[in-house]
Amino acid sequence: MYSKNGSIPKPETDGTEGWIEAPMPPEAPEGKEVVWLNWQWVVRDPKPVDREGYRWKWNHDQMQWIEYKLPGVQELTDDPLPAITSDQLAAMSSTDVQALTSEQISGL
Amino acid sequence: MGLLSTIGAASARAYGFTRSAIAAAVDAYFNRVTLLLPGNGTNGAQNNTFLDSSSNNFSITRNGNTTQGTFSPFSLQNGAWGNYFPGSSYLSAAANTAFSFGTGNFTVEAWIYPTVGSVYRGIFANGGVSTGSFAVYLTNTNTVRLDYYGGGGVGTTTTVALNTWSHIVVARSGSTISIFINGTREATATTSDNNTSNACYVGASWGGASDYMQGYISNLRVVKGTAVYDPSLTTLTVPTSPLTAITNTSLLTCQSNRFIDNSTNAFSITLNGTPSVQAFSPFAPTAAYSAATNGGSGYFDSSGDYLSVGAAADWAFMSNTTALFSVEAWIYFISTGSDQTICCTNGGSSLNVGFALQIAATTNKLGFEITRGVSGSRVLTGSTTGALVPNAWNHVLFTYDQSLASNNCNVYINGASAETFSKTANAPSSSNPANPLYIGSTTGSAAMVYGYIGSMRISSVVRSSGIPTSPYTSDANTKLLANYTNGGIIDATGKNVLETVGNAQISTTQSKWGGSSISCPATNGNYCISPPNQPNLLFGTGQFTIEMWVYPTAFTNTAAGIIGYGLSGGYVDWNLELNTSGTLLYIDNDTGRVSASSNLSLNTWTHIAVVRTATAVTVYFNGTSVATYSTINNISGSSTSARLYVGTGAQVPASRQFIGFIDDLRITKGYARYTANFTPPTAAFPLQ
Repeated sequence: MYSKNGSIPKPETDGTEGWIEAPMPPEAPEGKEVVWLNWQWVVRDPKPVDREGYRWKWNHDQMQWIEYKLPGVQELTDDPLPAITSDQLAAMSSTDVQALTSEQISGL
Repeated sequence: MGLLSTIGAASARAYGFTRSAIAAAVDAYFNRVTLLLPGNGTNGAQNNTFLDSSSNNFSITRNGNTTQGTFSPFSLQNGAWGNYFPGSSYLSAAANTAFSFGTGNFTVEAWIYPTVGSVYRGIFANGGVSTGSFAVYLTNTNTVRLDYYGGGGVGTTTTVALNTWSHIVVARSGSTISIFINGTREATATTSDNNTSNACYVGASWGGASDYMQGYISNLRVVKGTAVYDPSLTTLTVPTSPLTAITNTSLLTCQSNRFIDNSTNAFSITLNGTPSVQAFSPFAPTAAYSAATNGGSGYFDSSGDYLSVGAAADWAFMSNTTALFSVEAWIYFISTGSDQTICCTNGGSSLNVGFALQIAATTNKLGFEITRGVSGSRVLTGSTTGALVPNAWNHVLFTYDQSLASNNCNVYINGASAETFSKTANAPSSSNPANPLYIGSTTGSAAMVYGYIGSMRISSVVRSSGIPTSPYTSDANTKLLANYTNGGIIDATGKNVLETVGNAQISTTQSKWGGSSISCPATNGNYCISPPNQPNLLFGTGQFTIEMWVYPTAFTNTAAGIIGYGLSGGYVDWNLELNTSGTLLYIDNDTGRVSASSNLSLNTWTHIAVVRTATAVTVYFNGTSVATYSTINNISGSSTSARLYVGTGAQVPASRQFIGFIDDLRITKGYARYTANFTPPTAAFPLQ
């Protein structure tokens, strides 16, 4: 199989420059799908069904489907705050520490 | 210029795809083409893979539905752009004597493309409802008038057509004032009115308080002291190229990729409402699209779309003890309600090491920081006093040089210095940033861009200011070059960015022209969509032509959409769909419809054209009329969330997909290319 600039791999090239070898797609286990994303074959669950005002999108960095709200939709809950590491906590001022939520420090 | 003329082979080659007939033709109506998908390119190409064109060739990971296409700051040459006014929107400039004409000569000139009639629509006004001001406007019967408030005026009886470009001139010389429409003097009068107001409103009348333009304005020029055209003559020669800042030009606007005044006054333009810069005007591009000249952009929809580039360690040079870098980018953002991160390595937190460049919610100011990984303590942080402008291209340049004692950071917006900052006493960390470079978000879930990011370059050197006139190129100091030109299904007009959904792709399996086509394989979920709210793909009550070659391989899906515009699961603005027998159905305004009298055939190429004249919609198969629909509905956009679908319909895009191949899809807005049976195209559509 061959791909050019990330195109979906095909058995043959068109003879132009830039084609590179790509792996064969793996077999899709039952209930899974195989897709070509970011220069690699990905085996994943099918996309969940979208609900009104939200959309499931594939986050390749995390290799999972994440549900995002569409523009203009009011979020009912606050966005999760970033987790804090012990090293970061040690470097923080007392004021900053007081501002942390229990959720942020619970994992320390 | 004739309809067809030969251009050089270089343009065709520059487009980047194989076309058997190198010598191409020129389309006299190319300026009205608002979508052209030649379907040419690499077998298997989609719009989902992003390239770093620097020597680093960093991997770029696409997250969400981030996509790329040809809409860019360089889609058209400067002067050939237009502004769209959706209603309740206008432009203004600060009061200045340049807009006060007294009893002297002056000229107001523009191209207008009104999309709505029956209401008053301002073109240019220089004051409110007070004596001494005047307004040039369309009446509710589409005639053109200039009226001095409380004084005289002049008005045509000839009307301006809706949904097409018309050239309007109001010229005064001495006591003679005339109005020309498309080169013909349609009204003249004698005036002694004294114009003492000095305000400036574009797209509204009488102080911007009413009579908003609904439609487009391009190349609006105001000249004080000169009657550019002699009002005593009965005709004038309509310019065939964008207007320039001639002597005495007070204002020259609605012609660039930004809201700017190209006169020597360079007045600051203020947005009121939501006007937008559009790559749509009376003027066509001077050459066929090429990636190197015209570039592209990435589209980010603010819900999960972002790119991650390289590894965190690759970006340490931006936040370490010898930090020296520049970030340059173009951005066309749509929403102003949330923070939008252009690029970032620190997750937007001072708790992390890294860098961030972000547009602030509501204020649209450009914020930036270099963080040390210590809460509340940064190497540098600040925000510009000036702001970026929504719905227009903005160029930003951020430079940083840690080695300087002060003034380490310079920020430029559209070539002008926006801020200079000095680093704090806090030393930068030498550790790696928290993340790889994120484009379009801080963390993958926060501060996401809603709009387009154009050519972006990150360099390990301080770049000079200035507004680029072409996409960035790579040199020895370039660390990242993202030009968003690796799309497969791309628009040769430079107006649109499409997302390839599922396995929609370029395929060499079938082709009408050029060796490949757009493949929408069985059975569902493989199609293309545009971002929402595309006025260039709506037609009002105007003429239009939608045409393409189709090669259906199955009629499996009920009401399988070939192309359409509307709200998914909601209102259908316009749609072409096939039933399971291959019968084509055209629908507009959700209810108006007509079926073709014959069916498409499987596994063969058929040219489809849907043409609306002033009186009817006609469907042609291979140039022969197969249906006529005699109702002219107003296709004005049911929702700002509506969008274009290619390879599926607007009604239920996910499960009513066309199965087969599409080649050379072209939409011409405001023009009926065929008014009787015709010979189907014998070659690919011209690319310019």
